[in-house]
Amino acid sequence: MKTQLQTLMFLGLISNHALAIEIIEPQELQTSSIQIGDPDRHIKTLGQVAFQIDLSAAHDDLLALKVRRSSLTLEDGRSFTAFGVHKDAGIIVIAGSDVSHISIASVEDNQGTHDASVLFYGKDNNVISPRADDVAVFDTDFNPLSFTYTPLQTPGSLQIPVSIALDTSGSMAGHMSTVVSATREFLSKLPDFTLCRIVTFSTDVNHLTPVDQGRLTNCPASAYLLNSVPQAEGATALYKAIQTGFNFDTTRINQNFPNITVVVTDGVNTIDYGETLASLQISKANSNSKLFVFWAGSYVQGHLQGLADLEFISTNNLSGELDKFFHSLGVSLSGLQTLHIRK
Amino acid sequence: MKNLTVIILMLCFSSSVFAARNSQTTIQIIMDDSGVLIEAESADRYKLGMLSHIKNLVRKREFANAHIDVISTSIGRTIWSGRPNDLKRNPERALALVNSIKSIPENCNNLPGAFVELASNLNALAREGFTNAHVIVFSSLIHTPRPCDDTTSIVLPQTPPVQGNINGALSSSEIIRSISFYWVSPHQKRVWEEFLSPTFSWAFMNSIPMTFMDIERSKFSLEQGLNLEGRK
Repeated sequence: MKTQLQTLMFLGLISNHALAIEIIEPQELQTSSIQIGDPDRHIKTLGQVAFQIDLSAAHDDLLALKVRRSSLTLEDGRSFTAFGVHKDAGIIVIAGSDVSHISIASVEDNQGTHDASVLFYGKDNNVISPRADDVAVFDTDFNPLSFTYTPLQTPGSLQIPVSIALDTSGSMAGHMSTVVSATREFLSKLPDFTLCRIVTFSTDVNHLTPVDQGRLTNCPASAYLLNSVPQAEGATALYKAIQTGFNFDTTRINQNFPNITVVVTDGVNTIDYGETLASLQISKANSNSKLFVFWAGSYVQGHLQGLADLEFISTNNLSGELDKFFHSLGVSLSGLQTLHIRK
Repeated sequence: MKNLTVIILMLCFSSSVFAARNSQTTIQIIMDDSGVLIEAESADRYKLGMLSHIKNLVRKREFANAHIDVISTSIGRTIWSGRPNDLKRNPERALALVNSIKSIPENCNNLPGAFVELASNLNALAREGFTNAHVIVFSSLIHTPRPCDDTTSIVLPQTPPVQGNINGALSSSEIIRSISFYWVSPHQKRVWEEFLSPTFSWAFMNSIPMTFMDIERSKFSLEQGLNLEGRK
């Protein structure tokens, strides 16, 4: 080492002032035992696997399945018994205790909050209002979201558009008084946040409520319009009546909550005003409408070709079945709970 | 005249050899050899049928000398590489492939690893000048992260694995010309269809045929043959 330094100095390659340079000589080759982990050693470890088919998840989309298989819990650590997902708003609502099913009807974008209108169903399929600590809200990455919710409090600013169309064609003659009475009862029990349009239809559509949407009132206040029973006569402008329901301008009321159209009829469309099932399908989609049809008496299988979201067919007890139809519809509307979710 | 014939024959021969040696086509097969392959016995028969179709690709000009990689889903690695001719002319190599693709009841299933390997293969082949890749996935799309010795029950439908960037592996390579899924569990079909929606969209935008078949449709399709007619 010393000799090498002296040689370099002699050759003028380094000066006297550069004595800090040190040349490290390589050490002798060292050996040690080498271990290479075998990543394959865990491959053949699968036991006898039993596949279980979860039928409740058969219709889940991917997000719903992720929630179902997740370990999300309520704030106090309890497991959830039901969940609902609103994909567009990216919101997951879970609930425990007696809640067996959740349906998120809409999510409104308000200042500072997303207001979710939610239906909670109990074990007997009745709409219930769970306690606030039985509910939790998450985003789609499963991060908890803070929210306020007061059980049994009716939605504040929300207005639900409801269109009622009653068939008054000649064939309804024997049913009119039952239908009108049940409808009036239904309207009077609806909450104040429903906004009603009532029409009757036979050869044409007849507006009982003002045509101008801005002059419509809530459903209980509109019920008196059915105090008298219209005369049943003429043909059946069913498609035009449905289209009238779809024409509710929901953008003036709320963006997301569906426009609800209820039709009570006993016949097929017999008057052509230009509407077809295809045009009604498009109109329904554009207006974000839900169509509920009660068939009083004769029912032509598949007449509406899937246009209706729910068809209720009366077989023999018109009054009782109409009450049941309106009751379940009314409960669904009046049982809405609002969760104010902070953005 | 005799000399001219010899020259023409030589030219033909040399050009075909040239074309064969410079094949730009590859077939990437992700093969489920795990213990969670549905209807494993029947699946193994159809796997052999698929190999038979691949062996017969020697008759098709585009695929005669295609480069084939077979990726095992249980270990997530390439377990066989070769050409259709190896299956036709080399019994030893053909047997090695036949033995390596059988589903083993004790095998875990590393689906993310298999797709990571696919992405790696596609990148390497693109660098080497390959321009046409056909991807075949033969799997029930059920995964069991390893070690899987405590897996005694699997509830279907099962959420697809978040690891492995599976959509990225299938939709980020410019050389992919077709994608075919075979033997998808009917219980996994819907969630995987939604999970793969970015890949379906990418394939549609790029006119790349993409098929996604459950077990019954796979049986019918494989009995007809292998459809590798992708975008040119």
